[in-house]
Parts: sequence; structure tokens; C-alpha cells
Amino acid sequence: MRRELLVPKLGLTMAEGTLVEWMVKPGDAFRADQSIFVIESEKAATEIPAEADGTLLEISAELGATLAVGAVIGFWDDLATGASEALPVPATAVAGTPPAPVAPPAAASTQPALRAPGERVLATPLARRLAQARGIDLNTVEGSGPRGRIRAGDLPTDGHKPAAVSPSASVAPPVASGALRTPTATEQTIARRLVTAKQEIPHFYLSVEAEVSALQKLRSELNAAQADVRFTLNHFILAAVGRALAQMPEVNRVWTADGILSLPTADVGMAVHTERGLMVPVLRDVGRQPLAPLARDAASAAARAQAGRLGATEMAGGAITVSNAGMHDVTYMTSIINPGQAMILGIGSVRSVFRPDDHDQPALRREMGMVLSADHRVLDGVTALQFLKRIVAALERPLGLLVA
Amino acid sequence: MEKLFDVLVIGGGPGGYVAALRAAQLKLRTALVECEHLGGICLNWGCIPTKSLLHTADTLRRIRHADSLGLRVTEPTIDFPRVMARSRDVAQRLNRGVAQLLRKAGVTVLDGRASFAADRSVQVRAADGSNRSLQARHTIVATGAHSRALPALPFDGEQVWSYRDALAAGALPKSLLVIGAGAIGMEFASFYATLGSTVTVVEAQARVLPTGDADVSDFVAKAFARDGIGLRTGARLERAEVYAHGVQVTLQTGSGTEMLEAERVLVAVGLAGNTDGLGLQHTQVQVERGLIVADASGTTRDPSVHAIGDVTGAPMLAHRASHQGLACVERIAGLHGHVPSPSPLIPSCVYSHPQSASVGLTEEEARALDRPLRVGRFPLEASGKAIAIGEASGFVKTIFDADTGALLGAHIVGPDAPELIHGFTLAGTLEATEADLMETVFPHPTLSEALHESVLAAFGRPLHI
Repeated sequence: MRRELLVPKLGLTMAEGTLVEWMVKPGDAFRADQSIFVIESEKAATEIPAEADGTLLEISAELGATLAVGAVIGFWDDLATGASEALPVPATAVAGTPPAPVAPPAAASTQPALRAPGERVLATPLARRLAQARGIDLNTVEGSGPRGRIRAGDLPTDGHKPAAVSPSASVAPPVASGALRTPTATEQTIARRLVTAKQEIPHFYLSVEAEVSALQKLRSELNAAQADVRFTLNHFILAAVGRALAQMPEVNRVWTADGILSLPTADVGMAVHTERGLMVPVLRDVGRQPLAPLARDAASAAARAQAGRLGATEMAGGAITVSNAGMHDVTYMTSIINPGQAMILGIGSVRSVFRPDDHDQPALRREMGMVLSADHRVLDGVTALQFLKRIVAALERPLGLLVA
Repeated sequence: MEKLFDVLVIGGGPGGYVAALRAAQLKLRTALVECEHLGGICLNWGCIPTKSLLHTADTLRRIRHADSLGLRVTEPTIDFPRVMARSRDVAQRLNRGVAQLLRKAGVTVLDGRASFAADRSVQVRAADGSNRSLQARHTIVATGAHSRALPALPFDGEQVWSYRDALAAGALPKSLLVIGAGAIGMEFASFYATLGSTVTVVEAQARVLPTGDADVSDFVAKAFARDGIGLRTGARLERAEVYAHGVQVTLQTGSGTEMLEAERVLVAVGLAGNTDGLGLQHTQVQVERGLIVADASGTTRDPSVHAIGDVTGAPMLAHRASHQGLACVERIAGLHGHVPSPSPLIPSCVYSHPQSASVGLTEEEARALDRPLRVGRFPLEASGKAIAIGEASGFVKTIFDADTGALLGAHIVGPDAPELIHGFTLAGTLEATEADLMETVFPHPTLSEALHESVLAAFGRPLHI
């Protein structure tokens, strides 16, 4: 039976994706769960597995094309006989990290319906009216109500109505024009998310220095003593952040359209610079993970991020990201909070400085600058500072990080 | 080692037992601990038995007014013990119903007082002194609230009543003083006055039903005064003396001091959360002024301890507790088809005569938003159905955001107001605008037509006024 192959929806906010690779050729047979093509969404390239055994019949979309969720990219034969039907969009949607379910409910879950093209947009009358008034396309809004219905509170608060350009504007002096290029789908998505994050999240910033000579010594000794894991400074920072988060669960929460969400596990995002831009895999339950497995997980996530092979679920959740620019010779880095999270910790390079000691004599210190950007809607300055102080304390007395 | 439960609910009131039923529906191993009666205060000593008493009062009032309907009747005799006994029967019948529902759902019900131990287990001490230790992945605290006492008038069950004493009185008092003009005080004042007690209501704030809309307070206060109920608002209790046969209080009002005497006094000045003795110090929950800090789905600072209902503070209403209980259990079960609203619309109802019901903001609260408003008011004197049933007294008031057409608040006073308010609750929950409400066809002749007219009136186009 001939069936359509569709662009799947991989995250709550995914509206379109780029077809970057076919892993089977027309005429090739494939097994259920075998990867058949790769879609690049906002931040990740994801291999899409086959729903069932079958044969790829035809490819109908060009590589590199940006396609809406639900668009047809080819046809396959499911080896069954009968009338054709569309392959349902796989429901691998990423929901916010659910708070530690105690058991999978037996009843059918009420996952939000994924919106295929032409599918009716469910929205309350008030949401429809406000969207029209503010010039918001409801297709771009994720609904939080029953069956994914869009409620008034789901709409962005600030409408992006283009300002009217007056034709009689004063004549500007001629300026040499540069080259103009259409941003890629990924660039556009990142731009939109960063603008929203910077506009909507009331950021505040706390900077501190950590004295890391003990940490550097410990790291060298650990790396010299064994060859299984190569520890980097970042692994200790991730561990310190995870432990601090586990000790202060009141910090481990994020602002959502529907309220302040407390997260069940101390997950920590790790910013990885790649050719495709910044990727943020989120390491799970870092608060309780011993250092060695944490280092292995971090190294593996970084490698997969570099290869563009991170799954969308790997980049979801967490209240904080660690962004380490230490290798780039910078003292302080003040970062924009990753959308959906509440904090980002920018790490600078380690510098040798003289500071007056208790007797006002110059003492050599190895200092690492850290700037915590935090969302003031969920954190107050004192709590955020206590959290940051815990991280500093853990880094300055690093032996504690060896015991989970 | 006791068996491990997925969900342990402490408290069998309308929050707790509903949460337990939902948890069992979701196939979670569920236990419920109750120290007194299943169904809680609501079913045993609150909502339900008072509605039984107020129904008696309503029926009596109708019989007295039957003359105007063309029926000649003589003044009925009141069998007061029988009135009270019926109220208790109703409560007991529903109490057995809850036990049956929990049994059918497979919820393990334990009698006793629960408290958290230092090792995070939950200890249940039964009335016979025996102790049981329970383990649960998630515990939901749904322990409710109790009447706040006045230091000058401690409850004694004789002259100084709590709501419980007012629900179990042996005889109709000749005179009754009610301290507190909230829903509880106003309902008992209405009941006892209708049956023949001389009733005076004392309220420290400037108006009766002080948390509601001021128009509703005014209307209800005038109706009470017409029914011969004394009202002292803005009155502070200065001194109180309790004697063998009654109570004497001295009030400080704006115009000076006043002495009032009554055979009985009902203290209904608010409720305080039941947080004592729960061992909450062994959890990470945050307790502020005797209440557990929790959100609309019962999330506390402790990831495995949740709290719902009155113990989490206002509005202390049974239906709110049930709703929060459901949201809490569904969150625990990881059911996340949609995010429960962080601020569900919770209607509040008062069953005095006249009855009243509200949802959303009062006009005063809406004005504080500093947005242009549209306020509609439709009097029941203009409702065909209200005239036909001889109860053409009351109004429906609606408050809209003038720019967006969002329904911000609705207030109804009059017959069966609590049965009518759901129309606006549903409209508000579905985020209907004035256009949707105008487009809705209301059946004729009903009191509900007044809801429609009020919306029309808010936008300057009522038909029947």
C-alpha cells in the first residue's frame, strides 16, 4: 500500500524543518525503527525512524528544502494491501519534563493533537480576538488548553505589528549597501527565540570569582591517575551546578505561560559551540550523578552536538545552562538565558591575579570569572546569590564533588 | 515493612477523597487517612447539612408567603429537633456514600491521625492508640481548616457556638448574635432568623460579605434588614461576658459603644489551616501563617509532599479543593495533555436569603486593573420568570474588559443564584467574549435569561429594561 512520508513534529515549538539527508534510496527496503531520513529542526538534526517495515518508493522533496511540519517528502510501500493513507506524523513530541510520574497511567493519555497543515486551529474566542487585534498568526502559537486549545494566556504578550513606514520620511544620505542574504531556517529560529528570550525574560546578573587553584590541581591529579576519563574543568562546573541545584530545589524552576514549573530532577544544560551554531544538550539528574559518568555523558553529548546528531528530547528541559567560554580568553561573559530555562552561567577564563591576603600582602590566586544571568520572575537576587555561592564553594573546595 | 503506596492522601474531605478517587482511577496504589468523618467538614458539618437547614427555612418562608399565590395556609409549627435531625441524617447518608465510593475504587482507607516522621514515613495513630507506619511516593496533605476562635469568646458549645454547635442545637435560641458576616455567618443568621430567633450580625469590616462585590453586599444587607435581622458593620468586639443564660458583648462602632445581649453567640470570624501535629517540620513544605504554600495543582516546596484545599488558604471552598485535588493527582501521574490553568475560575456561593453567587473579579478589583470596563446590571424585577414565581428581587451584574470583551466578573443575587452562576463560570473558563454570550440562546421563561440581559446591558443594548 502506497503511503505518504511526512515531516514529523519534533518539539512543541517546531513549525518547520529542513530535510538534510536521505539514509535510504528509492527502491531500498527498510525495517521498522531503521533511520530513513534526517530532519534539522530549530537546533537539532534528528534521524527519523521508520514506522514499520517497508520500501521507499519515491522522494518528492529536495535536500535542503525547508518544509512545514506535515509536508509530504516522499512515498513508501508498507507491504500491506489496501487503500492508501497518510503516515501519521510520529508523536515524538517533546513535552516539558513531566514531574516524576509515579506510574504510566492506564487511561489514554491526552497528548495535544499535532497540527497538520489545514487542520483546524483550536483557540478560545478571546484568544482569537486578541490574536487578530495584535496581528498574531495562531498557527505559530502552542495551545496549553484541553486538546491543545490556544488560550489567551498562550499568546505572546507583545504583538509584532510592523510599524507603518511613512513615505514622506526625511531623505537619508546615501549609504553604501552591503550584501543581503536570507537567513536560514535555523538562523531565523534562533534569532526569533533569542529576541523573545531577551525581551520577555527580565534578566538580572550576578558576577563572582572562584579561586580554582585547588580545582586545577585536583583535575591534574585525577587525569594523571587514570586514563579512563579525561576530566575537564567544565565537568567539575557542571557537577557543582547540579549539586547546588539538588540542594536548593526552590531554584530549580522555570517560568511557563501557565505558571512556575518546579522541575523534579537537577538537569543541567551544557552549551556546545558547533558549526551549525550553539547547541545545548541537557544532562539529566546531574545533582546525583557521580563525576566519572557525568564526564562521560558530557563528552558524549558534546560529540553528538558537534556531529549534529542530538535528538530533540536531549535538548529539552532543565532550568540552567552552563556556557563555558574559558578557552577563548575572556574575563566575564554575560549570557542570554536559553528560552524555556531560568538561568545561564557564563564561565570566563582562569586568570592569575595578585590579591591582598589577610595581612595585606599580595597573594597569587587563580581566579575564574562567573556571571549568572537569572530570570527575575522565578528568582530573587538573594536566592540566586545563595545558589551561586554554593557553586563557588563547591569549586573552591572541590573534593566534595568527588562524592555524589 | 508496610506496602508502598503511590499516593497517600491525608484527609477525607472534598479535596482528599476526590483526589483519592482520581488517583485510583489512574491505577495508582492509593491510601487515604481520615481522623474523623469521610467527606470532611463540607459533607458532615458544612455545605451539606447547612443546605438541609436552609431548605427548611426556604420552605417555611414559602408557606408563609403562600397567601400571595392564592393559597390559604395557617402558620406551620416548627419541630426544631426534627429539623436538626434531618440535617444530620442527610450528612450521614452522604458520609456512607463516600465510604462506598472509596471502597469500590479500591482505595485503602485508614482511620486515625497522620503525621510525617523524621524518616519521611507517615505514621497513622488510630483512636485506640495503635500506630501504623506507611510509605508513599507522594503524600497529599488535605487536612482542611478549623474555626478561628476569638480570645474574648472561646468556644464552649453552650453559649458560645462554632458552626458545629449551630448545626446541632438542641433548641431554637430566642436570640442569636452572629460574629462575622462572611458566608457561614450570613447563612446561619438567615436560617435562625427565619425560624424565629432574634438575630444580630456583627462584622468588623464596613460591609456584609466583605470579600464579594459591594453591590451584592448592599443588596443583601438591605434584604436582611427588611427581614428584621440586625446588622452592625464596622463594629469591633470590645468586651464579652458569658453568663449561664446568655452572652453580653460591647461593640465599638463608628458612632460609639453599644451593648448587645443574646442567648447564644455564633463566632464565624474565619478559618485557620489544620497544620499542627502533622510533622511538617520533617518535610520541606513552607508553612506561612498556619497555611501550606502551594500552587493551583498543589505543588509545594517538597517534591514528594503536595497540599490541596483549605490547608493551602483562600478561597476555602469545597469545589476548589476538589479541583485542586484532581489537578494535583494528574500532575503526580504525569498526565500532561494540557497544563491546568494556574488560576481556575472558582465560583463562590452564599445560600442565605437572598442567595448570591459570584465568579471572577468584583467591580472594585476590576477597576484596579486600570482598564476600560463595561458593567451591565439587570434587575430581576424585569424577569418574567422571577415575577411568575413571586421572587422578583435581585440582579445579575457582569463586568467586561471594554477593549477585549473578556468577561472579568459576574455577580448574581436572587433565587437559585448558586445554580445559575455556572453559566458564567463556563463562559469564563472557555474564554467566551461578550459576542459569544450574546449569541447564546437562553430558554424562556427562565431566570437564566437575566444572565443574557445583563451581558446585553453591559454593552448598552438590553431588551427588557
